[in-house]
Amino acid sequence: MSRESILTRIRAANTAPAQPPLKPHAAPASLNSSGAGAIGRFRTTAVAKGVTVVDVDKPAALPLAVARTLTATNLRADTIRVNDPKLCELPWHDASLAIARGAADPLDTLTLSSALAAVAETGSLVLGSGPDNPCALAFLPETHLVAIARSNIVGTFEDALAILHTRYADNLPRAINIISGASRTGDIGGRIVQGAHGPRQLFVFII
Amino acid sequence: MPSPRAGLFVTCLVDLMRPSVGFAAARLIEAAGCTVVVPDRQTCCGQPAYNSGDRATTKTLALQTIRAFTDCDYVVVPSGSCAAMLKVHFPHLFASEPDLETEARAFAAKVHELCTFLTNICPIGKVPGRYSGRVTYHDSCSGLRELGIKSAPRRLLSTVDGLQLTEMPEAEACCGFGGLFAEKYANISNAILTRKTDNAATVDADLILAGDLGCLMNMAGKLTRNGHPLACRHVAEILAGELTDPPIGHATVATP
Amino acid sequence: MKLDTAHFPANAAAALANPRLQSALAKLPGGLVAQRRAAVAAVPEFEALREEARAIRDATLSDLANHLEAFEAKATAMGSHVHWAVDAAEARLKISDVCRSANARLVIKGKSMVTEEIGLNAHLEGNGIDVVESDLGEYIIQKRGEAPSHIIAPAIHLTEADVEADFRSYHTHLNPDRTLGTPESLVAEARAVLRQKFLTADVGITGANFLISETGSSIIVTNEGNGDLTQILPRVHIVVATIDKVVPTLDQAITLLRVLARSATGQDMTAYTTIATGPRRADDLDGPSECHIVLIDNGRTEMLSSGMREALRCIRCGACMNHCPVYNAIGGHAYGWVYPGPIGAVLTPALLGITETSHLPNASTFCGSCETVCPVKIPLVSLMRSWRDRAHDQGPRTRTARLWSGTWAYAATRPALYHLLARFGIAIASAFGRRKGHFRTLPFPRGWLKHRDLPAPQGRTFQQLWKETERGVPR
Repeated sequence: MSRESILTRIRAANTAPAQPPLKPHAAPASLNSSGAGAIGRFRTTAVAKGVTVVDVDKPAALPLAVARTLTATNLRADTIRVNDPKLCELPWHDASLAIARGAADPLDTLTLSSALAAVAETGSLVLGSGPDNPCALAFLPETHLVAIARSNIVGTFEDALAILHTRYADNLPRAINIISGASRTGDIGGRIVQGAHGPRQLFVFII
Repeated sequence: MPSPRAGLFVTCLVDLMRPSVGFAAARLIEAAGCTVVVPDRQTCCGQPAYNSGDRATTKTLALQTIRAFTDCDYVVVPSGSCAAMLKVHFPHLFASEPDLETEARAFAAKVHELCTFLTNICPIGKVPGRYSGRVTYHDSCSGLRELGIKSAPRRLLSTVDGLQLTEMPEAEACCGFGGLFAEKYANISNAILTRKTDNAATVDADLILAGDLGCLMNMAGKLTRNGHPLACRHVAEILAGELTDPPIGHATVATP
Repeated sequence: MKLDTAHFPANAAAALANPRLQSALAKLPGGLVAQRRAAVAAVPEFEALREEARAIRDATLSDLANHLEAFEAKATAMGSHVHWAVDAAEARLKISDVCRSANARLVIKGKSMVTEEIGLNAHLEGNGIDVVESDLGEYIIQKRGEAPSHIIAPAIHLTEADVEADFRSYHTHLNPDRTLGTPESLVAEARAVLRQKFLTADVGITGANFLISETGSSIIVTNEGNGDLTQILPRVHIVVATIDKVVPTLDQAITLLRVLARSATGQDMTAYTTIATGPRRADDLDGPSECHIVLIDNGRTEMLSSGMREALRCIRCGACMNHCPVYNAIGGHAYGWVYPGPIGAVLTPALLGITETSHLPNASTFCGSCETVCPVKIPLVSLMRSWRDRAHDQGPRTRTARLWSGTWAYAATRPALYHLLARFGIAIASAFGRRKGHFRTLPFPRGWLKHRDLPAPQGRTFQQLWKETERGVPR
């Protein structure tokens, strides 16, 4: 059987004893930050990737902040697809915005997800898939909005892994999506163009 | 205290093509306070065989070289590429022969590329050469990447009266020589070389210097073919003030 | 993919004479190379990260069988089906079997070099299945019937104008008078065309950058997001990966990710890094219903034992080719198989044998730039040299080459004879060349003289002069 044949050949080739397991490493100091430093750094690194970062005082203020941001960037305030119950219950109507629940539809232009963590070292968002946050929300629309709690902005990917571990232990959800800026390609003439297959624009709301 | 004995590993290219580089090197090593000896049991470092996959010849040449220099305190090489062969690769050749490996390691410890020798091992301070002109420096690949030669030649050149060094774009890029590569894959080599000489020509300099005669012959051959006035010399010639001979590939009458 | 390495010199000559290709390649130094330089400069600990990455790869390879078994156990527990394939043929069959049981008519693919290696697309098409590449660069070359010319930028050899002409000829259902003059409009058109494919595909096939033992996950990185749509939208997801892709922990994968994108494109992270674990859960609203992982050997176990183990550290960033003067001169297609550049010159002989591929490790100046940028410190020059050793042991190719190298070796290992021959040879050569200082025409070296002059020797050998002048007082 192929499985046994491959494993046998590997074991025959690995005549030297296996090297001892590597010690967990620390993130390089130059990439590390914490607390308010991490929040400031996240803002810088995310903006450098073309992400729009918006601060929101409290969850209830999110709908209005979204409405203002969409207007300011000349985006049509179409229905927003969102399925996270904590986000769905916010006063969207007060901001004259409509939401639709469920998984992403190919015709959706605007979606909203909540992130588990944001990582300051690279300005990345960490999303975990599940019924609240179906992962196509992050890939199908032209514009993707992401909400992140200020307390979940961490310095490094090691810190983000700790959050994942607390939440999921050893059984990860179907997808952990680490998103670092909008979709892009450099495949035509070497020039970077945003919005290759996924969103052209990415907005982050720090709550 | 007697002065240290420095064996000059001439390199086959200097021996055959440009002995003036050998004399320049000898003068510099002497100025650094050493006695220079030139064992006549040396021929070639073996790189052509090594890089063609001929291990047997390579090992014969390695032992021949190692044993030619047994009575020397240092082995000094006016080439980063040959120095790397002696210093880095000789010990690898004998990985399965412990006695020979020990011998090769002891030998390797004595080997130094010329500019490194003059800056770190037997510091020369100020060099005897004078040159009123503008030069640019090509970092040849083996010296740079296998031996880390970058600042040594520049530090030495900074002590040459009248000399002005301007860096060319992509100074660390390969010139396309690669030994037999230049012959076997001539048109690829030419593309790499053209880029190199084009880059060198963008700076205001009349001379390209380098520490390896192979690269210099390659670049000089291109420049004379194109009738370009930019000339090439080994860095040792400038450092030693050994400028009687015309630049590489130039006619005797020319006197830059 | 068809092997064409035997015609390397002719392919290289054609590449050098292709102005379109040359103008595309000219963008490399100011593009990927400059971007990597900036990204690396921004992390002072980058050297330590390279060393850490190397250590992770070596430690994993030293215990590969156990890590693979651990991966298989966890992936299976998380609901994936793990398949094993010893070679390309078995891998193709296992993949087409999955497609057949899914009644697949359309397969959408994320970018995957191993599927190029095993010739998957042709096999699936031969089984009546439509295959569409979704990475924009791969889509462009698939339509042209070409192979990738770079492992991370497959269409790097093409210009904007090439792509416009191609799109006009393929997308005949669109208005022929549409404006397509910019990369933006070309990208938008491809997005719209491919979106339909994503929505109708039955199976999505991706590669894997890493397979994580502790979580049973596969990791893919993309900038376009095509890899994600490929795995989310179709009903069945197939991950195709070689056995060397395994990494024990997510923590270790972080280190590899930190060096991967910086080395590849100069980004600190690619736009999308996805850790995928199994099929959709009972309460998930999207994601594939089935997840299959095909683990392929196809020569890797042989590499573990044949002195090519270090090449298995490779994480496919492409930095070695971006920094290779030979790759910069001729591009990827001239190498004649899936993997170009220095890693290709090591990998291709390992996977296909040295007999037909010996040009690849020989066509290098051994400048060593590749080694200085490799994020996992693969000693590419030593490995190429080791292939030259093996090619040499099979006998030099031509009688002339054998005669030259034999004569040279005979003399060089006999110093007295060597110096005598050198004196005469150089005296004669300089008598002819001294006046002009160089030779323009000679019976040899022909290749050298085609493009440049050969500087003439000064006249006498150093050994001769040194002896005559006693203690080096110059002439």
